Amino acid sequence: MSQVVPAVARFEMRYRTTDNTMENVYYVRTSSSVWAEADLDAVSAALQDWETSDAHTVRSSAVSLYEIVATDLTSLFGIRKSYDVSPPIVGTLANPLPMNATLALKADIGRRGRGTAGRSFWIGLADGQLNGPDQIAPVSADLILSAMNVLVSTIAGLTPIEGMCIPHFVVDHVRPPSVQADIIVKYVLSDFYLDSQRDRLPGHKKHKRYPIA
Amino acid sequence: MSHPFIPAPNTALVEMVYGYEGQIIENTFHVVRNSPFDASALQSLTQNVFDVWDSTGTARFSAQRTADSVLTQVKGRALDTNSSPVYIYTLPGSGRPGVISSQGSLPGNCTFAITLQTGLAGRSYRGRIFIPGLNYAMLQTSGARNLVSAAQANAWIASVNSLIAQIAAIGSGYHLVVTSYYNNHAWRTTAVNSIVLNAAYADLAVDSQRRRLAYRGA
Repeated sequence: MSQVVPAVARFEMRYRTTDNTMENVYYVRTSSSVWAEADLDAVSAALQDWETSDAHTVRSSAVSLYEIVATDLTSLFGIRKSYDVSPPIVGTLANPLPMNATLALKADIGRRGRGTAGRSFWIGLADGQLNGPDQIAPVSADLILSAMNVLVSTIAGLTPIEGMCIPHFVVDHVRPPSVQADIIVKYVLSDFYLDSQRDRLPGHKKHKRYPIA
Repeated sequence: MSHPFIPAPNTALVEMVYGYEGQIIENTFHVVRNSPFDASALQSLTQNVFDVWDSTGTARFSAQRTADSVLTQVKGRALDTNSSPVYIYTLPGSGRPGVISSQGSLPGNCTFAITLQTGLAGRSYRGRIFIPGLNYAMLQTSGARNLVSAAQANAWIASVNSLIAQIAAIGSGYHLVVTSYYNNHAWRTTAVNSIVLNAAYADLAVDSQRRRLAYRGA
């Protein structure tokens, strides 16, 4: 069921390794009633700049950002636009971990309610970021968290953007036809323990595998 | 998915129980023989076969896992009835760590799937175990570190094939088996065993077991 999300656009940051693809999906709310193509361009450019200046230094060298896809969710016929990131922005940390090892970052929306906060699973951890096999070192966690919160403030600083947000596609087991979205206050960590994303390993995805040249 | 007790005649369940960074993880095997397992047979199976498989010989399993994965118990349980014998062998001290250095141990969700082949087609007739205690040095060094090296995968296969041989060597009728409890969308009334002929791997990709991460429950 397709749903309309008033004032919100989706941005998929697509990463690849030599043998798989994966993505982080972010939502952004505008103070305008519609998304102009120029506004999608501006947010996509900010995401790419963030990857260059902040994020790629805390990602492993196995992953690179190769594409950003923006989709206007304000109507079923909204704009969808792809942005090639050329050359791809490669992570910098040596000794990458297998891609199912990840860290969950909780998007705090400043509002109560079960299942209302969003999560983002960091792409590209490296062995040197760990403290023992199953935990991230606090200093590494701080760097990742700091990068995420830089992204929150950067996006919120664009005009006419309100900020990154979490849409609630399911409420009380029902998919509302028009979706409410809350602005992200900040990203936080629940704990230092790693999380798991099986689909980021080669051969585990249910959907199509990206052809790697 | 809960179900009533399903008997597996002449069959024992053997669980290799490991500690890994505060988490308890297991590998489960099934062994069949010509008569029901009694307590002494379970004791012999857990101590003289599975524990020896882990500790002794060039293909010993402890040589293929990191020191962070510590074998603490080998549990044996007869599956003929729900009141059949159980034998729990607790290893002395704090257990047996793997031989490979814990330096570079991978997160607990990183594992490798070994398939147990029976020569029969169909879901009911193939099993898997997921290797505990992977180390960074076990991965391929080129590209993304999502693949284990062929040499390491072959070492695991050799170890599991050694277990198959050691079980068969106990005596007539002893085999490592795949035990099926479910078929055609329904629980079986009696489990069906298929003899494992050999271990193999489908590909070299790392596999994932989320619940083996510390503090990740069911």
